Amino acid sequence: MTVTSEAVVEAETADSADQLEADHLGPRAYWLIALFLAVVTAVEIAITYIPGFDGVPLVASLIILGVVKFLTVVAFFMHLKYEPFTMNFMFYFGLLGAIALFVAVLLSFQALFETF
Amino acid sequence: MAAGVAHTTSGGLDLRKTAMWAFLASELMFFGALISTFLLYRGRTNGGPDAKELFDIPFTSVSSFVLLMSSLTMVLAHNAWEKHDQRQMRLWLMSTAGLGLVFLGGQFFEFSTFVHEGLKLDTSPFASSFYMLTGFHGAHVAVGVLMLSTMVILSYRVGLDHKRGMNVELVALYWHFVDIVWIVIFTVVYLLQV
Repeated sequence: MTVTSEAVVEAETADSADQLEADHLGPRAYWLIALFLAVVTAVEIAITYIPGFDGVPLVASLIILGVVKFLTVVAFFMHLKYEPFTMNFMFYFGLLGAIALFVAVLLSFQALFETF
Repeated sequence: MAAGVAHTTSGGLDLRKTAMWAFLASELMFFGALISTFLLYRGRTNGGPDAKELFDIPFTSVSSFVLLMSSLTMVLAHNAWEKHDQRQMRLWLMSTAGLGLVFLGGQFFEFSTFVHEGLKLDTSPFASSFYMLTGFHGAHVAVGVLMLSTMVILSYRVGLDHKRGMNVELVALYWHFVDIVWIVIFTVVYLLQV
């Protein structure tokens, strides 16, 4: 490879890295997201130890916090936020399918409302 | 088709990435079925130990934290791969595999403890559904560790440049998927049952 072509490759690499930095997030943002996820997990665990905080409020809080973590990982670590509609559709269609399956199975055995 | 040739759909989407998202969508339904089964049978202990007696939330929380952090190291490996930084990429890939092994070690310890306390695979429907769900998840983690190790070996032998396709990106998608499934399992199977 000549010096010129090496320089072109380096420039292209730098350009694509800059573009990726703009499209996706950088390492600093990933560390901050991981910190956020760790804090949410700590909150999840902590609320299960609060005396008197049980039943519907506890279940609802745990589900909301779980959904927040799930969507954060999918959007930012899996970069689904930056993917075309087709891939978003495929994944969320699968997720809806899983939820529908969950509800159908538990309804079939009349166990949906006893589950939580 | 020769290796390194772009595989795209007529709409310009990368075929392998599209296939991976479709695979992950089907996996969501697979785990959805296992979680539903667990919830259906969680109260049927046949006189054996139940979730409240067995689950050690502080221990499982540490395991969850380890897996969560492995998603961070995986995304950092992916980021390094995108920037053509092979050395950083290898470092983060190995860290991810290491954290995966720690998680598997924790699961092995947890299963051993449960068996010691009388919860065997055939003890009760609760036991069977619990081991099937968490065991299948563990198997997915083990496959992920294998894939990560293969990536590291390949990076030393042939290099993982962009012409070789999107292997690191596909493995990253799979690994993050394993993490999001655990997020659901940790909440629904562990925290909601104690």
